[in-house]
Amino acid sequence: MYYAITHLTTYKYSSPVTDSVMEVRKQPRSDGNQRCINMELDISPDARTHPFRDYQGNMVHTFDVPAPHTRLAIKSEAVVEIKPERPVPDALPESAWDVLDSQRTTPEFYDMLIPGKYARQTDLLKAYAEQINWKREKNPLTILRELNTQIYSDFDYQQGVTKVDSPIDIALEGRGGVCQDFAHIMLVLARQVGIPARYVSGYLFHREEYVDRSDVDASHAWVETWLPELGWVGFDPTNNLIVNDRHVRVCIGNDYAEALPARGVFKGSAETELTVKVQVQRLDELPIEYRDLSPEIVMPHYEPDYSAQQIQQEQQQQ
Amino acid sequence: MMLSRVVDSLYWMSRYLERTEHTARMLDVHLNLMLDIEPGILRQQRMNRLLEGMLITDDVPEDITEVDLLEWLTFDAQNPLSIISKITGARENARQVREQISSEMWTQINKLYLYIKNCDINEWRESPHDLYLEIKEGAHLFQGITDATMNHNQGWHFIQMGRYIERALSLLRLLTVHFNQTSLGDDAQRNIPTNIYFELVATLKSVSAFEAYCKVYNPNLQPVRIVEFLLFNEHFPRSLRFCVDQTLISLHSVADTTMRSKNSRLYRNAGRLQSKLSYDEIMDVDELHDYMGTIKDQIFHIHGTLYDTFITYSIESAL
Amino acid sequence: MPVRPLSALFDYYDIHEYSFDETFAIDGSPRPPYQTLVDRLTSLTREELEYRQRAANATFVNQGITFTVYGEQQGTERPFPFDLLPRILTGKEWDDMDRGLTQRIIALNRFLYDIYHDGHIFKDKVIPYELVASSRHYRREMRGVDVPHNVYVSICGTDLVRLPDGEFAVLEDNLRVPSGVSYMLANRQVTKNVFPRLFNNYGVRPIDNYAQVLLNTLQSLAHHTDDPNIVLLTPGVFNSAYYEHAFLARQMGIQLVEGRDLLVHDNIVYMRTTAGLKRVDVIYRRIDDDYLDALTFRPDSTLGVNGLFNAYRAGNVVLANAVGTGVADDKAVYAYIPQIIKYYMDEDPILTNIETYILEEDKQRQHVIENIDKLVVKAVGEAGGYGMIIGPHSTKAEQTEFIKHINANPRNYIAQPTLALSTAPSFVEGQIEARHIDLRPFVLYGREANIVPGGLTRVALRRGSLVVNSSQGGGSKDTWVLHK
Repeated sequence: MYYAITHLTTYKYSSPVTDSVMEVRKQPRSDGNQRCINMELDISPDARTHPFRDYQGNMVHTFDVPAPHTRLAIKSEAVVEIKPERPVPDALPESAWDVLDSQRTTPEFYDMLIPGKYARQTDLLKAYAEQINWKREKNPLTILRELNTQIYSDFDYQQGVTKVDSPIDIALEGRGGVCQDFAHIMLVLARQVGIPARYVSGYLFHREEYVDRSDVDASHAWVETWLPELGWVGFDPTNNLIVNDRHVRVCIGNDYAEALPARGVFKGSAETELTVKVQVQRLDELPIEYRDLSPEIVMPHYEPDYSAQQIQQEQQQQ
Repeated sequence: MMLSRVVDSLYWMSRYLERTEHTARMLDVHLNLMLDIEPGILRQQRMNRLLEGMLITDDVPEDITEVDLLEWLTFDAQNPLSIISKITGARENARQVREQISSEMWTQINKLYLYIKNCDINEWRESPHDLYLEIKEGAHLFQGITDATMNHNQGWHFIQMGRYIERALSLLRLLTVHFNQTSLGDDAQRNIPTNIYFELVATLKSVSAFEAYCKVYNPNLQPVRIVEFLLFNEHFPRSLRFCVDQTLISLHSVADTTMRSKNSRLYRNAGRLQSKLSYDEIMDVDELHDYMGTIKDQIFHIHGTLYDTFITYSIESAL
Repeated sequence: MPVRPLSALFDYYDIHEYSFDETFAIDGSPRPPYQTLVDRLTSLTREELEYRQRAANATFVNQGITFTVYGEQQGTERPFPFDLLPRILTGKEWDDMDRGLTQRIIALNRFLYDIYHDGHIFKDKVIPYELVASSRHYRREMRGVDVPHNVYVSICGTDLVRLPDGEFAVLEDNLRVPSGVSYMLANRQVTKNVFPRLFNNYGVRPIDNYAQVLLNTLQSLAHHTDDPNIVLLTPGVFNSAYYEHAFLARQMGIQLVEGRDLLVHDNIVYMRTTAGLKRVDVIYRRIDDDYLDALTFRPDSTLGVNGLFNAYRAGNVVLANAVGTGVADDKAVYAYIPQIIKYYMDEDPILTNIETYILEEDKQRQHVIENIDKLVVKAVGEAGGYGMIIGPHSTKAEQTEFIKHINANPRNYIAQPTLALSTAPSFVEGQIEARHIDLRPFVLYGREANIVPGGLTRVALRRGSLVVNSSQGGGSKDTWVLHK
């Protein structure tokens, strides 16, 4: 199926600022079951955008606005195709732990096992882990499924308590937060038992019949864990979902610090007011204007493209 | 090729130093003048005029002693308009561009700074005059060293512009404060009251102009002639006209070096001001304050467009 | 055993078996290269030497050559402690060193290319990936980024020591923002004034063209223009090495800039001049990676240029040294350099490493903790001699404290046996005494290695001290590499 997304980020400054330099990560990824068919970026005030690939394989657009301005708007419009995934099984064999352990120190997974700026251990998180008896047992997939639901039940969805860059302790204290917090908590716990896990920022297609807690008018965050035989599997603890075809993946990173939709610096001392509007529409078929576009608009470069098959083979050679 | 930041620092180093020298002279003159004025209203007026001339808007407490006031204006680092604050500003800017100025220049400005910083205030209270003399001479020496040891390149010209723009603005302020009658009278005015006479001498001495004035006119001071001399005299280095002439010379030199058009607003405005001062005569000045106000605005404008052209220009305009 | 009395000046000169003395053999006779120097010194009185020392100091002061030591109360500039007596190396000794240093820098550049691209060295299990990836200076942003001629390190200061057996070994590489070259040049100039005849008689290889060679090196890195605009990026007047930045910029005839003079527009770097914006092609940057760009690295940096890294990635500006070179001078990676040289060059290392313990490894850490009083433990990422303990010179309390740090973050530490650095004569407090020294040659690499003969010989000025870093009060000598 196809999705059309509009994502508008607006900064308002209390007094004019100059020399804004920004990086935008709003181009949906083309990997796994997802393909970005088109993406357009509109900046106001006018600015030329320059694309590059970051080390996580995200497509980044950078631009600068030197002249004084009090408002900066970044609007992206994207069309994405998502093929439904084969359903994720309930469990994996216990030997999956051994496969994980043998891959621990490979470059591909190392970065997704280390703590990040936000996704790191704290005393409160340790206490929570004890409380839910979090440990290695059964098999990695089953305990992740359980964790997904656990976090969903233990935490309320509360906007305004935490900010987008709050440390996770605030959410842990009040047992409430938003998608970033739940994603960070899940990241730390998954890594703790040796499962490579990464932060995903993107969009969730909401509709009435889906009982989603997350904010419909914002971008969304969830977790992907790497599992033997399956590859990267997405868990959405905010909504107690396993990612299939309603999640549009935009950028990945070790945690939120590497996956901001937009970030930048400017010169001047002004208060910043940030507003975000997101609209995700499902399309029954691909609009005509996109049908002739080449299938891949980006070439994977340093994307860790580790298929499950390959790992199995290497395992057997040892 | 010069970095904008560097000429910015050279310019302000120069402006602060000129400011330091001017303030030292004003305070010194004030000190001497006060010896001839009895306590009373005149004294109070004199003190207020001094402060006004230094752009200080606070009121002086009535019972403050001369020396205390002068100490505040000289040594108080918390007072941004004190001499020490000004010399610190000059030195800080010099330090930022130490690589651009000669080592002799740095040594001299550092020496001047350390002199006032390490001055024993109690000793100074005994004989305040020496300090101001030292500062004046130190500032002159710096200018002489600059002229003798620094390449007369772009950086040197920005130093000149800083000096002359500051000098022009200080002069205008001084004249505004000292000539608060709207009409200057005419040549015929003979009997000037003694206290006014001393004030006029003080005004001239504040800009080291007394002797030069007497060579052009006669010691019979006439306000109208004094204003004429200080505004329009072509040769006296502290006259407004001279300052603007020098500024233009430097502006032209910098335009040539940076290959900038001399048709821009900066050059047209500066040229216009220069013409005005070379062709106007004192009888063209109807209302002194209005006249000087216009010129002051024009000089501020020159400073502003100087910055817009060479230092703070926008990226879009430059690419 | 003290030196055979040559003059009273040498009365307190001690030579030992446990360290190599550059000037005197163990029997007290001068080694051949130093014979002429020793003869000359013997003929001078204390007053004459003191006079020369004063003249030398005055030259430094007059030229404003100073050094700010961090952590001192005033943080003021002090005159650079110049040690009057030159250190001498024979042509052969130097030529061997040159080959070793050349081999090393080529290997390090290949290593950097590999770790920021396909990582073959990890796949071949020569060095653990985590060791490299966990280095504070490993910059993921550099993955896949190409640099001109694949040269990451163009300017390197490699510290060498002479072991008791007389062989030279590498103590560490400094590949980020090595400094000290201006002192090397100043020392030569002053020494020529202080001992002109001696200098002439010896026949010393010249070093005065360093700035020219450095300029050529920087020019060779520019790839999209024949007349590149090269600048030197300094943190500013308050940096302890500012004098050197200004000096080099002047010598090379390039503009000295601070971060605030530069801006990035549409991924191109410009500098703000009175004649308008001028494009910048090559930046010799003396600012650490962390502070280079508030958009990509530390957001609180006020020293850098916002958007610089993106312009760099896009290939629109060259940085010397490249971003992310610090991983190769991480002291833990240092331990693997012999293997790195073998892997990329298929040769044995010409210059040896010092035996190094990696404290992240459990057994090695245990050994180090038990023997800390005999070892030197250093923090891996620190430059300038901070974050270090010298076992034999430390108190039990200091050791206990340091062990706490080790256990808290073992990855951050390595240990080496205490080295008996070689000694050479220094004129201190009216006597000629033996002081420990090391050597920092400056290796330049544009399209090929270019190493100015000699380098900075650093001296631990306190009797018995082994710390030579100028930021902690060491001094320096002129280094003479003889033509033969």
